[in-house]
Amino acid sequence: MKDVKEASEQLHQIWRKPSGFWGWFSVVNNRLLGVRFMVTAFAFFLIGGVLALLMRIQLTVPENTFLSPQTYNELFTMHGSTMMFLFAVPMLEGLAVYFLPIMLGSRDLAFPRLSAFGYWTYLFGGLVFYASFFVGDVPNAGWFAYTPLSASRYSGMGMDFWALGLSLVELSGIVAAVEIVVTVLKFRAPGMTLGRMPIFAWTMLAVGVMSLFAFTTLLVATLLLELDRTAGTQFFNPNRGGSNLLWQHLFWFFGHPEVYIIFLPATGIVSTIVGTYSRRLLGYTIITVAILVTAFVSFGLWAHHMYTTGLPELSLSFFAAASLMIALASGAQVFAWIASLWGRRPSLEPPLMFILGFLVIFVMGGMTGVMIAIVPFDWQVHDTYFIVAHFHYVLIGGAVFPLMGGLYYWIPKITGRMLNPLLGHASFWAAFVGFHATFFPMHLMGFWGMPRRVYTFPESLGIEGHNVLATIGAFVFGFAFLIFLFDLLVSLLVGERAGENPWNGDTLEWSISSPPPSYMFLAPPVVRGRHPCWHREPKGSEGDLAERASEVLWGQPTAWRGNLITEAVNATPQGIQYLPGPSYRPLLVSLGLLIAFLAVLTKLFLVTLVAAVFALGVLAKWLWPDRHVIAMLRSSELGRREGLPILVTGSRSTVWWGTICLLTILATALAALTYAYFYIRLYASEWPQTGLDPPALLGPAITYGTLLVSGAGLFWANRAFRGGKANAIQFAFTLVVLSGAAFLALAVYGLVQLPFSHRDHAYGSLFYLHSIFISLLTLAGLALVGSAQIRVWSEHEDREGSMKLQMQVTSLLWYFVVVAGVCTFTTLYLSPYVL
Amino acid sequence: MGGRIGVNGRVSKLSRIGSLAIVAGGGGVAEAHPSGYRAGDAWWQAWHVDGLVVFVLGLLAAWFGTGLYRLWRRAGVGRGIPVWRAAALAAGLAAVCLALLSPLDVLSDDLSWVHMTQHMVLMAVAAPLMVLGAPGLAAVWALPRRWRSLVGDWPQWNRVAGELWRASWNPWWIWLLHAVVLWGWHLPVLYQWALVDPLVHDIEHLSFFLTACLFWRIAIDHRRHLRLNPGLGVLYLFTTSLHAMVLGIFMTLAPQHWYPIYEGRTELWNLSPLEDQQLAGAIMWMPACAVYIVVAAGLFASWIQGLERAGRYETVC
Repeated sequence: MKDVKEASEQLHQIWRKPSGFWGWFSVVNNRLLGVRFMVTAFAFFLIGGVLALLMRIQLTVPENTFLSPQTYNELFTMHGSTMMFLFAVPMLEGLAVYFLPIMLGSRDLAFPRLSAFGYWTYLFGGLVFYASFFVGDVPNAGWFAYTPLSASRYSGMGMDFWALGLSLVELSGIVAAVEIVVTVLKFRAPGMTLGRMPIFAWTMLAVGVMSLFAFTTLLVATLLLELDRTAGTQFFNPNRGGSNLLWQHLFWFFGHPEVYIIFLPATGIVSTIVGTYSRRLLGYTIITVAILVTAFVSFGLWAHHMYTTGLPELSLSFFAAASLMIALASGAQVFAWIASLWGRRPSLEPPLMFILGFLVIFVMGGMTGVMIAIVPFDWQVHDTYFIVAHFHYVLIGGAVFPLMGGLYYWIPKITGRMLNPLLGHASFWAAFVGFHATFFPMHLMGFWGMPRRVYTFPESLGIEGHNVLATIGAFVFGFAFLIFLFDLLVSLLVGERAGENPWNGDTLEWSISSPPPSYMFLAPPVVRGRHPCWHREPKGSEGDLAERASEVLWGQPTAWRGNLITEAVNATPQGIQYLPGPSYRPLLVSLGLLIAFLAVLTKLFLVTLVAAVFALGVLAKWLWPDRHVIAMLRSSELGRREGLPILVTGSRSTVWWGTICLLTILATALAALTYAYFYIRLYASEWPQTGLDPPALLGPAITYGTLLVSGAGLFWANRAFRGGKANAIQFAFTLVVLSGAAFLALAVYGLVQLPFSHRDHAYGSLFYLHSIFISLLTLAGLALVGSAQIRVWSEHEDREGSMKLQMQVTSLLWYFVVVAGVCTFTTLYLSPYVL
Repeated sequence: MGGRIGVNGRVSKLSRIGSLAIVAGGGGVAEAHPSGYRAGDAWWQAWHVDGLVVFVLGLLAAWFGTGLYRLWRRAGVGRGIPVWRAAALAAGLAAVCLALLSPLDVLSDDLSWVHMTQHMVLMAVAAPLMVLGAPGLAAVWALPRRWRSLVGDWPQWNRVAGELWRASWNPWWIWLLHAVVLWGWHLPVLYQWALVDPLVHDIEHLSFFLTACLFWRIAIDHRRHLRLNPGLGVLYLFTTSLHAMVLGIFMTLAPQHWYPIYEGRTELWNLSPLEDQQLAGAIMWMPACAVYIVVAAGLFASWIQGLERAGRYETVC
């Protein structure tokens, strides 16, 4: 048996970050990427804060001329967009990227290269946002970019920067969601059943699933907006049968869950810190149920951002009642925290101070939330500073304070050095007092009629005093973060060393050294309760699979990065996952995307095409199974005796779960497009618009019938694959490819033959978009089917390992394409006859 | 039955059942309404005692009652089927009564929001309660002893039965079936057909109820090894509530009403047909979807508590 030193040295050799300047660009380790996410997000936070301070300076005195109205519009748009998209979500993602694997007892995230890709797209998206400042055409339609203000008739190129930058950031959010969901489900320590998982991981799981639905919808919405702006489609143009409110629906279907996508991880931080300081966390089940209910309900409530858009009066009281359901769930959590702290004597260190600050501020913000859930009240204060006050109480109170608490709590783990408690207290009090001084007066300003998003206010309102106070408060609030940065700097230079567990925390990150070693765990820790660092549960029997798996992976594997895969619910060991090492491909793919998007901005569509092909080419190389790796894994003896396979298939494999997430994303995109179709249909007086006949059925039935044929072909291919019949497999695959190609040809032919174009009316835009979407899906599916066919044909390996997995993944995707084809056919061709 | 003929030519339910509707005041000058309901009637007295429904429900109650009696006499009260499950079964039957016999049914001919409520009671209240009540178990115990295992093992009779049994537990197919039935009956053609043809109306209610029972069975059946893993069950309920919500949203936001048949009927209640439909949509959107949330939360809570204790390492998926 190796000794600990030798084992950790060997593991470090394989897990350490690549050296040198260029190595920096190929890093895939979750801890390094997590820090990058957090540093970048904090930088954007500071920039967004400066924008806010500029606005406060403008609003200090009535009829100020410090900023022009145009600049003011640009600043509030960029402030909101930055804080929501470039700070809050990525910051929490960064925290999750860093800490989820450690808390769950794993060595990395499920898809390391995907996390790197997520980081690069996020960074590039943020840069695209801010590149607009150099062009001198800054987004100015508000962070929710309502059409028609954001349409090309009323806003300049700035909104293109906004839409394209946002698309990249959304992509990063979706990618991170997949990463988080699969990691939480498949990379937990053996024995960590879902019922023993830390609350923070629960919140991230909920947020991951929510993001799959919410971010995808937003991506579709921004795509439609950008198509309207550059390709001349009519989705949001009422003159041509489109609908402005469609944007609001799609945006808020994302936007309302978004609030909870930010808030839920923050509650996870609160639960963690409250649990540590009160040495207990009461109501584990209640808290998880509250998380579930919040996530669930948040998707049903987007209309409550639209009270003033002419929703039927009869339905408003329903919304008001339903909005209160969220208050119930949040209230249950707040009581669980208060009860946990009750009667304890927690030491009031900075992490806990920020959490206590959160409780105060968030409860206040929650109260005003209940107020504006009441419809007549909302009508009164809509678009006033009361709303500004409300959402800053909820977002800063609900996200920034817990986040600061979380940073004070976890930075010793990241840097290995303690922060100064005195500076921490100073930072907290500056933040707390500054916050209230800034935002509390805004409630009153709202009552007295100060509208939001207006660059100045008249003297006659009589609220100069409040505005002066708010500006002073804003500077004090900003100063708090400078103190924090100073504290961080001092701590990095001369800070006291943090041991393994400075706060006596209960989760697994506190069981390893600070900062953690590159491989994080020498062996997967076996978990037998909710608080692995507090209670050493009795060891299981020697024959226990969890113990054996932990022994197998002790200091192993040393030739490649490997991590234990466990079952999704009960965390039983299932196999060993190979994880890829450093790679430039994630960077290259996101660079390709960035160039493609920038080319859209400058209308160089040929460059877009070239860059997109480049990105797809690198992606193909990235996804192509590496023969050498497979050969190495096949010959490995690791875990063989214990029945832990390395080349796993089906629902044991992370790849399978990643595919399920991908299908969820694609299905959501299809659902959002279908929603757009029927929403516009709902308001159209005639359908199809402008007196067209409903589309003929026979030709399209044949076209879409070919997809069904290909589905049957794939079913046959799978049977032949299981039976090991080489010729039958090739025949069946050829059938799939040919019928898929026939579908593509017929679909394109059908589009060419249409008597209208995508510019004529919203119906035309929808028709083209749906047809193109299913065609692109088919094209991607064909690429996968084709590569599976080539692999089966060229490699005569045993059909158990990675080839079987590839068949499974390909089949899932292709069956999805067939189902999507049936949905598209129903929407485009059948529905005009029955509705 | 010599009933009055309603405006659309069908025999109105109220007159089919004769004298049960007590017409207050006895003036009776109001125009005959499709539901037989007249202005000034006391709506809570407008019950629709349909002989067939009463017979079927009575038979079911007797059957389940016999089964429970036999089971509990043999094993002790609360054994085999816990008391709360028996109560759920009874409540489920009562909810079906409420939906099909009460003024909900009579007024649903006049008001689409009442019709929506009726469907909601059938699909989101009665169906889950019945499923919680383990009706299959009670039903089998009502049979003579030597038939029990024969009937209980019906999936093993032949291949078709086996395939049917497996299909009825396939979450994908049942999810889809439930969605298609839900959306399909709201197409104007089918919805209005049900309003003019009592047979189609009965088929509508039956298909709503039965598919809903199949739907809920996948998520909350008492046989844990057959039902969906609760984690996936939560997603199954979530995605269903999403699409049901979209239907509710479309109903609520539609600028024109979808079912012209209600024209001239809703005004009696001081609602325009459009307002009536908006109310129906909002009921579908929020209270109906709240049921999915509540059930998901309960399912989830019991699951999580079980998982903390779980020392067992068994593979679920």
